Amino acid sequence: MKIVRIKADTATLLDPAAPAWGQVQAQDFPMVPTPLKNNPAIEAISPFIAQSTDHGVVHGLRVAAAHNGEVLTLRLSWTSQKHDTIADLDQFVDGVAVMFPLSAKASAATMGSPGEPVNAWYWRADKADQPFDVVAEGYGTSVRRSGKDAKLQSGALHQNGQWHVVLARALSVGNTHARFTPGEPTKLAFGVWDGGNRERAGRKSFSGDFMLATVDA
Amino acid sequence: MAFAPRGAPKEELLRHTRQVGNIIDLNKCMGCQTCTAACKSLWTSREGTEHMRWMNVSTYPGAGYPRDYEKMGGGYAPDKTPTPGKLTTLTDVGDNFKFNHADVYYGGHGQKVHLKPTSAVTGEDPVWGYNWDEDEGGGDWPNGYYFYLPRKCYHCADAPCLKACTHNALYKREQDGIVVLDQERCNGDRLCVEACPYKAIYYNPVSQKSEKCVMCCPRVEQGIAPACDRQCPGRTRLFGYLDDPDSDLYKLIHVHKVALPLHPEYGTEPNVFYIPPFDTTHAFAEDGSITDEGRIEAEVLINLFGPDVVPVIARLKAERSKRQNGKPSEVMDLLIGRNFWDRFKDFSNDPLQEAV
Ligand code: SF4
Ligand code: SF4
Repeated sequence: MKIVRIKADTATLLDPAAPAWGQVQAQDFPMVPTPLKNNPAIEAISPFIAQSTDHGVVHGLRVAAAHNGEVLTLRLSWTSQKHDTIADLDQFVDGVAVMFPLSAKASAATMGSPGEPVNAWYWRADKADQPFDVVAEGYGTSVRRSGKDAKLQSGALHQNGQWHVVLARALSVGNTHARFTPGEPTKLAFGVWDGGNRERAGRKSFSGDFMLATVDA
Repeated sequence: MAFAPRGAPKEELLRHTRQVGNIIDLNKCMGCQTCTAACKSLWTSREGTEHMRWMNVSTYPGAGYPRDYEKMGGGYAPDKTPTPGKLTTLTDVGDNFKFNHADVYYGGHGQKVHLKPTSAVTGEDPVWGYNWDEDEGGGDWPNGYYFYLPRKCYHCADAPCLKACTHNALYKREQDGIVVLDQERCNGDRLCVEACPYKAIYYNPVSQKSEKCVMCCPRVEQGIAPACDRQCPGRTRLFGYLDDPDSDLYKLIHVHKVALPLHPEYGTEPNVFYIPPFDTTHAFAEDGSITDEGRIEAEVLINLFGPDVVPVIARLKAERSKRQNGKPSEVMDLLIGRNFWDRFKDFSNDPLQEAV
């Protein structure tokens, strides 16, 4: 996909309804349930979650990506009829994440591996303006880092059964976080959790292995 | 501590050198809830824990606590395949009733206003709560019956909660086998709540993390028995290392074999054992005469403790008759538990002394 260069300030782009987003061509990604059943790596980390078969109800994600020379912004849209809240102990909320490799060999399907970390930006509907910065080196190793260090920002809108979420971060915040250089390609992958279907942890839809993205100079 | 890194094999988290555990004698429990109150005031009086009763006592037959936990899955099938489980709701775990205290005490309505609970879930009159079916029990008139079942986390040897957590937040403490849940690692995903067939883990909606019984591990480290065990006025409890052959606990479980785990078919290998109720009530015959039969239906006990409960009850009754006939019975002496130090052995220290 293409991360286009756009003349707009970050504050504008953080609004998912900003007309500026009209200038950015969005791309549709098919999303599939994460392969949990009969997956030995998942069995090892949780034989219980490995029994899951009814997750991954979000089948597509529309992504528009732009940068203004300073900040990378992604506008993520998907269908979720209800904006779920945690009103009772058995309820979960919608979420979305974008993941980047922190090393050349890192795999998205396994969330990295020892020595081959990945970095993700994770947004949850109940903490809509406090996205989490996550780092992982394989299944079950993900750690949430303080969003403040990563200076992640977000904007969200639930309208007509659709979520539109913008995630944004400076192109570079140090080498323990994904770095983006105009003119050089990057790689990314996506995950979506449907709260109404009690999706959380590995119970989600994902876009498969890392995909190449160009970052306009 | 068997505190393994994220992503480490579950065997590392289960590893322990010793195991503490309990016996709870159901023949002596009077349902006073002192154990529940001891636990609640020590551990779950924080915001977001109002609904939690790590220690709880309900009437059997009955829905139990959390409500209908026996129908919610979790644990393992006989071949050790994990059984998918359900999550408890706030109502299942007893709600968090709001009361009209201000109106009753300061509203100036005199006798016209009465104390009234309102469900925190629905804002209406509650339809279920902790101990909602207290003393209802089972059996048909005139042979109605019930008994109390105190429950807490069983600190299972093959703990499904621990196996379910993708973040390795749960682990067994190396020195005593107590299963604890690391609040730093918990993500609030509640996979543990689903996996525990006893529903001994509770979600805290304020901290957005799960919580469970810690077997009072800070007390245990000081040689003090857990609060629920120590406070029990019914002397129903024994606590200690399960591998100590000199302990009363060991004698009752391994020598006399009269203590059983609850729902052994869940496959989790619990470390809290029960002396099943061996029914001192006498059932009425149809003609109204008093028989020597008890009232507790065998299926109820088999359902709770498995088929082994039948010979265990026979053994307990035989021991009781020995005593009734003036002969010695070590089992009866152990069950009477006259001596505090015998019941708690290595964990007989006084919390007030230790605190000084
Ligand atoms: S304190 Fe003892 S007698 Fe009272 S309810 Fe608890 S176990 Fe039963
Ligand atoms: S009773 Fe439940 S919470 Fe306690 S160790 Fe067993 S599975 Fe875990």
